Amino acid sequence: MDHQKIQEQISQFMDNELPKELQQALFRHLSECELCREFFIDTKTIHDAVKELAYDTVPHAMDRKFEVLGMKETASQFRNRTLTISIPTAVYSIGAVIMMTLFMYVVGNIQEKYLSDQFLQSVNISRQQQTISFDVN
Amino acid sequence: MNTTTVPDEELIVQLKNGELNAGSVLYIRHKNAVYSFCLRMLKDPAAAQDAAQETFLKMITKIQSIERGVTLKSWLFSVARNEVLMVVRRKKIISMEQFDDETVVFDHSTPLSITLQTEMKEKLLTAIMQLKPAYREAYLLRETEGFTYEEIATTTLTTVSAVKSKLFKARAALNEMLKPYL
Ligand SMILES: [Zn+2]
Repeated sequence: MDHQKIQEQISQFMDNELPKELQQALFRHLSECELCREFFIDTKTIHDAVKELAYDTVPHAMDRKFEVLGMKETASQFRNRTLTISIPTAVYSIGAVIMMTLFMYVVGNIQEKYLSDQFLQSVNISRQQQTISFDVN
Repeated sequence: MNTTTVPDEELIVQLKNGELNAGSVLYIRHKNAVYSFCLRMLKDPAAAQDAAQETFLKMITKIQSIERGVTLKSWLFSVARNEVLMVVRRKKIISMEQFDDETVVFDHSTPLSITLQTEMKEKLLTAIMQLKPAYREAYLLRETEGFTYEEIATTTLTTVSAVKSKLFKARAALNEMLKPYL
């Protein structure tokens, strides 16, 4: 029997890639061959151990580069912006806008009613002065 | 919505539509696997970071080139392998021939100082790192990533029978290196 051929099959067996019809012959050989049995046990031990190997963690510098690229940032900022506007904040904001509008309206009315004549008068005066000075020059 | 449960395929579609948050989820999901592969191939953290970074940059910029039916993982590792080769070429870390050299399975020149290590995992990792790149990449893709023979063949640009042979030789070499400690 070709021991290397059997050991190649052991490798495929570990990967669940050995056809069923070859498995019976493989195990028959293993029951008779010390050399291949040893290969099977060693391979299986390492195969199981390697599954326990943890990944290495990427360096922080790499994570930061991808944050700079905007992937994480854009998404999280957008999410924060939409989610963190609480109801009280919204009410205060709308209230502030209404107050501001009212204030502008009231100030506008006052200006129109009580200050417009005075304002126009002063504008006229300065215009006249400009005209005069222009004429002089 | 809990993004951790969204499958890769769906996130790829979202990323193709310009949703960068999907790219962020994919990056977080695969970053350690890709980085570990690069590190174990290059044995140099800075070089591994370069290769892994380039891989994810390509994921964002070339996402449109991922065809239907190709898994992202398989695509990422193909790109990562290519980046590893680029880094090797640029920094001349290991000679290029070692990627194709199939006559020697592991590096006998660097002694495996297993006696100083107590953990089996450390011993194992040290032994894997001593496999020649052509064997190491096939072994890592199979054992740590669970790739099928077909996927390994596609990723490493070889045939399924070559993959079978490499995996067998890698395992035989690891058995030999680790024999005293099993
Ligand atoms: Zn035998």
